[in-house]
Amino acid sequence: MSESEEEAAFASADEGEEGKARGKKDLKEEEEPKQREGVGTDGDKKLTIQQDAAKVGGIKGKGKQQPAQKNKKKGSKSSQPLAKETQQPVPKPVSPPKSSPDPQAMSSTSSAKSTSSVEPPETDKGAPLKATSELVSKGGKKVVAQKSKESISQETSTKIKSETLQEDQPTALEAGSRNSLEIEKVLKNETVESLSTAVTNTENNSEKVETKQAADVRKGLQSSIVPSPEKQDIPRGEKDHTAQQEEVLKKLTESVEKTSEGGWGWSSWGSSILTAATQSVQTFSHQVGDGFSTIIDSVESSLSIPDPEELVRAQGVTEPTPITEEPPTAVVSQPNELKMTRQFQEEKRQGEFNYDRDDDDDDEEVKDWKGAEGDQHKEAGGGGCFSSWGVADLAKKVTDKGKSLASKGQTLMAGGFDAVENLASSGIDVLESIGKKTYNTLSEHDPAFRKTREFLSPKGNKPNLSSVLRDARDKAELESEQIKENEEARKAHFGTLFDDYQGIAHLEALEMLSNQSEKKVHSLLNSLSSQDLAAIKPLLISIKATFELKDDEDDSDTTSDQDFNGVVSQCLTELELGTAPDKLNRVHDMVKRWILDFDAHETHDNDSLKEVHQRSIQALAEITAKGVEQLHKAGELVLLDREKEKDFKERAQSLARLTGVLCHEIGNLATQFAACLNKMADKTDTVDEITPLVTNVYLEATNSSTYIQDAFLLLLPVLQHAAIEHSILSRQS
Amino acid sequence: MSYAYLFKYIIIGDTGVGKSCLLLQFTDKRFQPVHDLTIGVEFGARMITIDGKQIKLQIWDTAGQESFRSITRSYYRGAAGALLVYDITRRDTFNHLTTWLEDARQHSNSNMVIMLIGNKSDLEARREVKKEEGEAFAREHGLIFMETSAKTAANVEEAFINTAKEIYQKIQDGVFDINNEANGIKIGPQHSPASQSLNVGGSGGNQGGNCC
Repeated sequence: MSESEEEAAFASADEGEEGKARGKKDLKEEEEPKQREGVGTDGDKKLTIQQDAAKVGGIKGKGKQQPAQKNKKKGSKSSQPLAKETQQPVPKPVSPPKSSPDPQAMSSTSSAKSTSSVEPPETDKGAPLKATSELVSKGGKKVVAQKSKESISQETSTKIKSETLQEDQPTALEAGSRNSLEIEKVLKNETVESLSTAVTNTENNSEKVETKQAADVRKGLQSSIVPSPEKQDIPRGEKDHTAQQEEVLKKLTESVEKTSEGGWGWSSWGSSILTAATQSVQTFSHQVGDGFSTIIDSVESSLSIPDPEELVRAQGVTEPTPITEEPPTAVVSQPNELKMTRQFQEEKRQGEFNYDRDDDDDDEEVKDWKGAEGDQHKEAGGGGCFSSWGVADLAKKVTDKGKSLASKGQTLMAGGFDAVENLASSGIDVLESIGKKTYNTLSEHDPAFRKTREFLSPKGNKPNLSSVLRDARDKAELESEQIKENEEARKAHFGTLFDDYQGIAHLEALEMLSNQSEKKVHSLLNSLSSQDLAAIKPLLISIKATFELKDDEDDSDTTSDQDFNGVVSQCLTELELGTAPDKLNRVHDMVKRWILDFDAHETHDNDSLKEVHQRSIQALAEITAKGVEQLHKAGELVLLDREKEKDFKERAQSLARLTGVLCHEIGNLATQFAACLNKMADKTDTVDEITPLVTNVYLEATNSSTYIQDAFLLLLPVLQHAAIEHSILSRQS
Repeated sequence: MSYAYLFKYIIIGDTGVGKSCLLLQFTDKRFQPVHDLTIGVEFGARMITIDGKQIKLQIWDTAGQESFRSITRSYYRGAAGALLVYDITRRDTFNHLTTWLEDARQHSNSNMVIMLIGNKSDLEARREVKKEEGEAFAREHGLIFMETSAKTAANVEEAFINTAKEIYQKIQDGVFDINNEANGIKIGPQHSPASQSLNVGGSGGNQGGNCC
């Protein structure tokens, strides 16, 4: 890097000479604009008064920088379109390194970078001008080289500076504006890319550059007529002026006096100083690029921009006799701040590339400055307050203005470099960490949160887990409750119990048997001769009558308690089917025993009403089932026993009696169960609960009777069938 | 005790082959060495689970005596499955299979699943009918075959359940029209709480009457 820089420096030095020479010619014609800058320079001086010598050196160095930049603009204006094309065929050996702006740009500070990176294209076109600008941008080194090689007196150099400023204004307006835009664009791109690397490089380079700058500038200053104006009182500086300088200064002052119009206060003057200071800072910030706009504030604060109040104080120190009109206190400092920013940019552009847009304003301000200076001058002269300053001093200040303005910027830049470096590097670190954190937050926490939200948000539509579980639990509870209820209901449900005791199956089987017998009866009757039919008809009718009679008997039979087992056994014996009512009797005995047990125990606290009710229904169902089964068996046996010599009417009557007994017994049992329930009701005062239970018992008893009677009626075809077959068989035999 | 389906089985075969013992073993899981002569038909019921569905088997255990033949024939109707049982220790019971099979085929629906069971497999010493014979007969007539022992309960469950599986498969295949009760298959009753409570209210009798 150092090599390339040196090469560049040499090249630019050569070119710079030319440029300056040319600039001289042009610029000499216009001196006035320089003057206004001179005023600014005065202010600058005062600003920098308290700064150390090194900075002053920087300022001087910068003084050269400014014209160079302007020259650049000039060159760039003309050469812009070609600039990039010509970049490579650069005649000088310097070009290769230049053409690749990044290495150099990185080596220098961000501001330097911006200029250097933009300018390489321009070099070839406005070669002389460009060289100087490059020098400037690359730091004091080049400045030194420039200085040493150019054996230009300070007068001329100052002139050139001031003149170039003026000269550039008209021409460079357009180009400058364009340039600045382009530059900013390029800067944005390049800075973003190269900044990270540049920043690291900058740390190393900038220090060197600064020290070199300081040293070189100091050298240059010593060699030049103006020694060290910093510590300088103004009178002292006055002495240092050479004859030539004084001439120039006189001219300037004259022109200043001529042009100066209107009264001016210290406030505006002070503001211009501040403006200059802030301007350079802003220039810097602009160069750094938009990306760093956010840290401008911190940059400004960290830069060596003096506080307005400090400035005022400084003024107070240096100028023990302030102007009577306006005290240099808050009045001076406060209005400045607003103006600052505006003038700032104007001046900055001046110093940098642009003059165009703010040209008008600038002119006015320049006028103001002039006026201010004029006033100042007048007052100095008239009031005697400024007698010590003297016209020459003022002139000198004016001449130095360009220099100091530029150098001020450089100083600020140089001073700012460190801060900027730190800020940039630390800022980048911060940005990096912020970015990382943001990314982490987004990639790790946010997505999860999003998922969570996705999971949670449709919750409103979908039931969430807890509600699902709750529903499931409720459902399970409900189901288990239902199962329990069903079990309870089953225990007390006559139909179910009847089925469990196979009552329904027997009834079904009996029905099937009955249907089959009925068919048989019809077919047999059809097959029988009329004689046989007439013979059997009375039997069939009597059998049928027996089945019809049954209902009447039922009513008459519902008397007292009966010997169920005896009657049933008697009935079955009458049937002569060889079947014993074992099951039926067993069940009946069991039920009876239970009822007796219940009656025997006066207290039935252990038994709940439900249990008694269940027991009642269960007993009824079981007896009914057994009764149906008994009838079913009887029917089967009747069919089976057809060969036996037996009166079917008697069988029918026996069956009818059996049915009657069964129904009667069921009624009896129901009454007894009801009595049991009522007995409990008396003791427990639960009449309301018992009434439906008692009703239910009676109801199911009726159902039982219905089942049994149904079964009995189903036997009719069976008996008829048996009777017919028996008659046929008997006849055959 | 709600169920999805009710299958009606009939158990047929010569008297004394152990039909009632098979039923008792299946329903009560017990063996009764001396059993009363079955008059007409006896009944047994048990719930089984097939394919996660509760199925109630209503088993009609018919009398094997020849005299009851006319009566028991009337019970074939409406059976979904039949267990045709013979006694491996009695050749004649095996020889009567054809008659029983004809009876069953004649008086029941053609889709009825028939399981041929050689019972009393525990009495290997007294075996008169080889297992292969049974297998051959089953193969010949398109029956499922098993040798069981009501005494030891060997294959008793399997005999009933495999039959049920066969019936269930036929239902799935659409062979059986479950809405036609003549096929011996009933769809389980609705057992909503409302209907249950209604039944508790005492409509059971009417229901039962309807069943008739």
